[in-house]
Amino acid sequence: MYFRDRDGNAVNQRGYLIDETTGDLRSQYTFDVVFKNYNLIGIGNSRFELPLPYRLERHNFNPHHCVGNFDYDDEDKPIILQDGEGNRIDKNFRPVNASGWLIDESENIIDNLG
Amino acid sequence: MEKGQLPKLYNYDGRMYKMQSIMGVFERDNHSKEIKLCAKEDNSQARKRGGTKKFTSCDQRGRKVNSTGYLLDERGNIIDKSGNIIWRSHELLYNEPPKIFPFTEFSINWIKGTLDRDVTQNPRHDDEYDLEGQRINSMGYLIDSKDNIIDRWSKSILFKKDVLEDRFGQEAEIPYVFRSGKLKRPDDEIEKHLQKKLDKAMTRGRSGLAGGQDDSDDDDMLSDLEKIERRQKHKYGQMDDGHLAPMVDVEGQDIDDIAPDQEQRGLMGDLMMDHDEQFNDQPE
Repeated sequence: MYFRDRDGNAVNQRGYLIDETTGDLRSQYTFDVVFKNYNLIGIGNSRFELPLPYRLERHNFNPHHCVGNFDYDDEDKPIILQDGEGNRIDKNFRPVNASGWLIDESENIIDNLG
Repeated sequence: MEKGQLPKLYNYDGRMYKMQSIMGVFERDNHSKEIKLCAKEDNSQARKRGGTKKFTSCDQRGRKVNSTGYLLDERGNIIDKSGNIIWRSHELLYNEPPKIFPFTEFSINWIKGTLDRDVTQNPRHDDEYDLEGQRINSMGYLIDSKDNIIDRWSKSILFKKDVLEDRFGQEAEIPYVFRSGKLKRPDDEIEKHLQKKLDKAMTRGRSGLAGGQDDSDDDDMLSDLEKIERRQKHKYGQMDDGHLAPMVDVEGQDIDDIAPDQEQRGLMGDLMMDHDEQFNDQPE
C-alpha cells in the first residue's frame, strides 16, 4: 500500500519516498535506493519505518551546513545583511532568518544544498 | 522556542543547550560554503613534551575546535562558550554529537530482550540470555559480543559500551536522557505490537508458565491448557466424595459426554476386539 505526496511521488504510510514496485526507500534527488524494503521495520510483511540506528539519528546534521556566511560581532552574533527589498541575506546573497540560519521561501531552515 | 531558532537539544545527562552555544565562528569557502578552519600552535603539555611544533584547529576567535566546527576543551570534549562540558569526547561519533531534540522518538522496547521476568530483580544478576536466546546485559538490554547495546531488529549498535553507566557490576545502563521520559515515546502500530509481545512474555512468566516466546503453536497449546486448568479448578474442582470432577475440554464440556467421531469409534472397536481376543482365548 502506498500514498502520493503533493508532487505525486509514491510514499509509504510514514511519508518516505518509495519505489512503488519494490517498496524500497529512495532518494529524492537520484532515485537511488537508500534502504531496501527488507531492512525496514514493520509488522509482518508490511515494512515502512527506518531501520535503527537511523530512526533515532534521523535528526542528526552538522549545523554549520545550515548557517549563512557572515562576519561576526564581538559577541559572536552574525552581522546579517539586507537586500534592496529589506530581506535578510548572507554574504552570498542567500536568504537567512534573524538568527542567521539559511531559509527557504516558507522560512523553513535548510542546509547548503537547499 | 523563539521564532527562527532551532529547538533546544538535550545532552546525555538530560541537560538542555542551544546549538549556537557549542559552534565556533568561521569564514566560509565562497564556492563550497564549507567552514574554513584556522590553525594555531598547540601549547598543551602533551604536545610540548614531543619537542616538535604542533598545530591545532581553531575558529576565528582562536578557540580550539574539531574538524566539524564544534568548540573543544583540551581533552577533546565539546564545550559551550562558557567552557561547560556538553558532550564528552567518547560520546561523539565521527566528531559529531548526537542530536537529541524533545521530539526525538525513543522506546526502551527497541533494545529490551524478550523476558518473562524483571532481570534487574535477580539478586545474582547473572542472566545472560533472553527467551529468544539473545545475549542480554544485567539491565535486560540486548547486547552484542562486545557488550554494546543493539536493537532488536537489525542488531545494529544503538549505544556503544563506552557511553553506558555501571549497573550491577556491568556497563549496562543507557544514558539518562533516554530513560528520563523527556523524549517522545513512539505511538504507532510497531510499538503497540512490540509492547503486546513483551507484556505477553512477562504475563506468562508471572503465571509460572515456561517460556514466553512468540511461538504460535506453543502459545495455542499453553492457552488451551490454561483454560482447561482454570475450568477444572474454578468450575468443577473436588467433588463431595473427594474425587476430582471429570476432565472438561476447552469449551467446558465433559469429555465423557463428547460423542466419539467415526475414526475414534473404529479405533475403540479394534481395541475392544483385541481385548476380547486376548482374554477370551486364554486357556483355562
